Amino acid sequence: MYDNVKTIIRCALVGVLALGTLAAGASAQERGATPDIHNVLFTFHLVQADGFAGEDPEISDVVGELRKLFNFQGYRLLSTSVFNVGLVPRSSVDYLTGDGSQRIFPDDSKTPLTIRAEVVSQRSAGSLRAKVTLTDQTTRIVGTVTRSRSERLPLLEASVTIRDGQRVVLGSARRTADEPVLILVVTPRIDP
Amino acid sequence: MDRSDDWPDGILEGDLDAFAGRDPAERRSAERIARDARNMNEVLSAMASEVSERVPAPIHGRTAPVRRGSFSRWRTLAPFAAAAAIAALVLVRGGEMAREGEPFIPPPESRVPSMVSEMDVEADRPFAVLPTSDPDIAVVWLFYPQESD
Repeated sequence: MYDNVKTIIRCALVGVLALGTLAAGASAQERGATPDIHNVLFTFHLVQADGFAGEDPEISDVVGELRKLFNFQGYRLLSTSVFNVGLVPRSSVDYLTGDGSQRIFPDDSKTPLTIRAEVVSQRSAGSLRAKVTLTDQTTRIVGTVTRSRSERLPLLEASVTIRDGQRVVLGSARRTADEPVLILVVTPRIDP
Repeated sequence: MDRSDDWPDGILEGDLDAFAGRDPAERRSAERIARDARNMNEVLSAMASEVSERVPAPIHGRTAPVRRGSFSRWRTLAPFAAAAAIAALVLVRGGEMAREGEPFIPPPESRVPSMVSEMDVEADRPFAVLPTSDPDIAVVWLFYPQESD
C-alpha cells in the first residue's frame, strides 16, 4: 500500500516536472521568436508647464498624472511631432540602429528647437532603447568658476529603454532661467 | 545586512567623487552599479524584514524535540517537495498566468522597482524615475544642479 502511494507520488511529480519543462521550453521559443523591430513611429508632445487653465485632450492622461506629482498651475501643449525611425543592422549583427530628428517651432517662439531620437534594438529580443535629445540654438557656458567653456548643450538628453506604446515623460528643461519649464512626452509605436 | 562583499564601499555608498578622475565610461558604469546596488539593498532589506517576521522564535531558548520517525519521513519526502516547488515555479514563470486564465499582474509595490530597472535611464544630469498610477506612463525628471541640491 505504502509502496503504491510512493509510486503514484513519484509518477505525479515526474509528470509535473515534464510539463514544467515543456512550458518553459515553449515560453523560451516564444521569446526567441520575437520579430526584429524595423520601424518605430515616434510621437513627441512638447508641453510647457505654466498657468494654462485649459486642457488638451491629446495629453489629458499624462497631465492627469503630472498633476498628482507636481504643483505646476497648468500644462500647455506647444507642439506635436511625429516621425519614423527606420532600424538597420550596423556595426554589430546583434543590434539594429537608427535615428531621426525634426525641427519644430513651438508656439510664439522665434528660434526653433530640434528633437532627435537615436534608437537601438536588440535582435530577436524586441527591446527598444532610445536616446532622446531636445536642443535649441543657444550656447551655454558650462564648467566651474575657474574652468568654463561655451558649448551648445542640449536642453534635455536622456536614454531610456521603452516599451511599445509606453509614454515616457521627460522633464525638465528651460531655455532660459525666466522661461517656463518644458516637458517632452515620448511615445513609440513599434512597426515590425 | 552582511556587507562583506567584493564591491568597493565607495561605490556602494554612492561616493562617486572618488571616480571623478576616471574616464566617462568607467564613471557611468560606477554610477549604474551604485544605483542598482541602492535598489538591490532596498529590496533585500524589505525581504529580510519579511523573512524575520515569519521565523518563529524558540520558546525560552529551547526548541521542541523532533521525533526520529517524522525526520526520516521528511528526509524521504524533502526532495520530492523541492522538485514540486521548482516545477510549480517553472510553470508559473513559463505561463505567467494566474488562475482562471487571468494574466499574471504583480502587485503594485513590486511593479515600481521593476519599472525603474526595466527603463534603465541614463542622463547627463541627476534624475528621478517617478512611476505613476498608469503603468503605461512613466516620468523621468532631470534636475538642474541647484534643484538637486
